[in-house]
Amino acid sequence: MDYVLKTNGLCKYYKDFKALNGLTMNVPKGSIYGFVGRNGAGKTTLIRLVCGLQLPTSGEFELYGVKNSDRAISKSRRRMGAVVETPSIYLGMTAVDNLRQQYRILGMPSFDGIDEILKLVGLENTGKKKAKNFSLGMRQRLGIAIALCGSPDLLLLDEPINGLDPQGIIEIRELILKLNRERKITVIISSHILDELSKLATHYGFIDNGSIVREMSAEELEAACRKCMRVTVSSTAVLTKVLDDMGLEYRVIDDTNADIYAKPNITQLSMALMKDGCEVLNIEEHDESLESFYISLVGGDGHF
Amino acid sequence: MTKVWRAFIFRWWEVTVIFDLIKARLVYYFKSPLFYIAVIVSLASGIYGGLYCSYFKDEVGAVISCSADDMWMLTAIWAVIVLVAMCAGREFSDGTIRNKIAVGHTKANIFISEICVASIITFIMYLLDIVPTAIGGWYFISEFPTSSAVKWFVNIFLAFELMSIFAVVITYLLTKRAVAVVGAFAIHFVLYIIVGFTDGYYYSIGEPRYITYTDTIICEDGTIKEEENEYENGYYIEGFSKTLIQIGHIANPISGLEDAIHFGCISDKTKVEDYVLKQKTNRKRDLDIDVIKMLAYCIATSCAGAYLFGKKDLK
Repeated sequence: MDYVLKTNGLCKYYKDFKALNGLTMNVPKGSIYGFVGRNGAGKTTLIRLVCGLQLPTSGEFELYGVKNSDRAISKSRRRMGAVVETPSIYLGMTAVDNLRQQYRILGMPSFDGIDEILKLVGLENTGKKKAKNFSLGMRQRLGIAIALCGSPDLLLLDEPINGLDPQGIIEIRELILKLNRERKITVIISSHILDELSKLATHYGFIDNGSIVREMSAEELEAACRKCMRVTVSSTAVLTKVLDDMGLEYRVIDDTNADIYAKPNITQLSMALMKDGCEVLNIEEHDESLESFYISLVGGDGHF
Repeated sequence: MTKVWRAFIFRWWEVTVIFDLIKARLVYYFKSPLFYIAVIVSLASGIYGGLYCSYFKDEVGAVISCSADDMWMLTAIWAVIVLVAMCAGREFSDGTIRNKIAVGHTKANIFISEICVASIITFIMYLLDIVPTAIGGWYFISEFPTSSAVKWFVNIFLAFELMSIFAVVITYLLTKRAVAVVGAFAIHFVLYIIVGFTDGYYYSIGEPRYITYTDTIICEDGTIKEEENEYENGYYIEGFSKTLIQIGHIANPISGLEDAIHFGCISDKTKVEDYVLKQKTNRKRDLDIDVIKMLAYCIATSCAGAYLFGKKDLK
């Protein structure tokens, strides 16, 4: 599998505070990578390191196969666009002027494509309106438009839906999906709004206290969050035999716990288990949302 | 050989990307209303300086100093400080510096391009200020030896340039516009006050404790007689004070500006030879050393700023 971004033991310390602590992650090419973590987990810090705003304390990362310590990383970053925290726009300029500035910064020979980008983000009719008079949603879209200058194939979006109204959230989501599907742009999107990410991401990286707790694809997450019945028995070895006989799908968690992905007849199941000397200790319905899955990963106080 | 060739191509690529950054920043400046305010202020200062010089043109025997009132220059320098600090600071308050770094521009290139742009803008403001002044004060500037005149112009430009570089460095290190403007002003004022204090003493080092002057006395019967009298030199210093003044003046990066201001002072415009002689024996102005010193300060401050900014964590 091709990876656009790979980090290896990335650390960033601010005096005594460890913002990133041995973070290792891999972002597949063409994916929408949802970077999930609570406030202060290290999401923005990682994005700052990848963008070059800050230097890592230790560890390394590779962008398109080029190490961060290599001078050629500047050229790799040309393939990237980013919106870090707040949109970086010239408030005294119009949308068109903002994009023209970015074209100049990129050294592009002409201003072709600006109208197309503005149309893509829905800002084609802003005319002479200066960016300082834009709504928050419009500023976010302008920030993304600036990041799209130069036809990048990687987009880093740091909490792009913060502060947006429901309509704005939908617009940004649809834009990201469109960019990924039509232009094959890899998107790394950090957020702590899990429900929104679940509608977008194809891969997830769960971060807590500066390190990746778990990386998984959307399919794996769906499987982990499936509705099921969690049974606690005295021996899952007996349970598996009974469930096989009953033709039910299940997943063994440990020696005493298993998830059954069906609604079995509890009486029949209990009697079958008793016949083989297995006690049923607990049965509960289990429906894991992304939020509860995340809590189970990192434990305790979510701070969402 | 391939390594050398690749290094050369990379260096050339870096030079071309700096031009891209310079072009983008110049467009930003020309679109900023603050630029045009600074243009008006600099031009007004220059016209004021020119008028001031013209006013005293025909006063023979009076103290004619185009530069004794240094407001014509200082106002323009303040305008440059405010313009450069505010425009550079905007990059951080708007966050637009992130757009440059995220697409691969190095911090060093960004800083160097900002210095280059600030220098271009400073030169524009300097021309707006110096040209009207030079036109009004041409009667005394034309009396200077050519090399002195060139050094005079260069010294004043380097004073503008140095303050502009200070403004960029402070803004890029503090990343806060308002604080940077105050900081740059504070540095300028402190340096200027120090040099104003040390200047008189510095150029009197080596003078005797008592100086003989020839006084012209008009007697009661109307005859004029000349009398030699000895006066105590008010600027005489010795010992630790002397060392302190020497270090304070030489180390002060804008002492060249003060030298340029006082280089313009003449007591009688018809006696330039006397004036030049007096300058050499009494208040000698080392304009050539000042040029070298201020140029060195410009380069050193820029290099230090680039290094420190490269190490700085940005948000």
